[in-house]
Amino acid sequence: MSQRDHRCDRLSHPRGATFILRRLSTLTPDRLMRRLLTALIGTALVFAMAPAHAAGNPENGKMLAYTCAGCHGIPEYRNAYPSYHVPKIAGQNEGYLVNALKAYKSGDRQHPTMTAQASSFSDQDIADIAAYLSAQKAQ
Amino acid sequence: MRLQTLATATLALFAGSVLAVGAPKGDIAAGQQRFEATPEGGQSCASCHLEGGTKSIDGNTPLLAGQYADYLEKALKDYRSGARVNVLMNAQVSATEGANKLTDADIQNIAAYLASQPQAIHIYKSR
Repeated sequence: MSQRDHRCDRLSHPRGATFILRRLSTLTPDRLMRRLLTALIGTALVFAMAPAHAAGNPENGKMLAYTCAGCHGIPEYRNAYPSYHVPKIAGQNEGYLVNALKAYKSGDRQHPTMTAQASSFSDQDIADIAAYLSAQKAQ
Repeated sequence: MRLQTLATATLALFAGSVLAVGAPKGDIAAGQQRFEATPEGGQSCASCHLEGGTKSIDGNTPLLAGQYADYLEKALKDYRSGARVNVLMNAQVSATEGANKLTDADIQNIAAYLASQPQAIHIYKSR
């Protein structure tokens, strides 16, 4: 009987759960905590990888955000008329960036360049861009 | 002599204009006060844009600390006029009743205050 079969057998045994509990109880609190943490992180990873909602893909966002740098990537860069600085957007909150781009797309916010940009993006593109930009925290 | 006077005057004028562009127009202390004040029947800016705009109550609320003052002024004026639509912000800054309506001076002061805070957001660098 291979080791793998043996393990399966033990788990399927009616006393399997008791066995595991007894083994856990022999561990020092420190080791027990570490085991529990590993289990917890494992569970969290499974949840993190499953797309709970239309989560943004920062990898694709990075590609799409290339154009943004043309204005938002230049220190002190100004909008021509009316004259004001093009806002800082790196590290901004994800939900806010999504709402801003969607507002330009719908016309709730008006700016010729931004309307043109946002109109060319799908909702998924917008989510991706927001995921990427919001992760660009200050060093 | 006259040339020297003219040169000095030109230099002074130039320095003055540079200062005028560089210096924030608003009053930072007054801006902080207005930002944190809770008007009757309203909410303070600080109740959503937390800790001087370095944090916020949720991901839909923007971080404002370190943003350019003139951009913040434009945003607030657009919310006030309705040119920019956001139910919450429109009600917040353009309420005709109550003490919540922001004056031009309020807007300038708040913008100067937020711009002076430690940067929560920064210039995008593609890499």
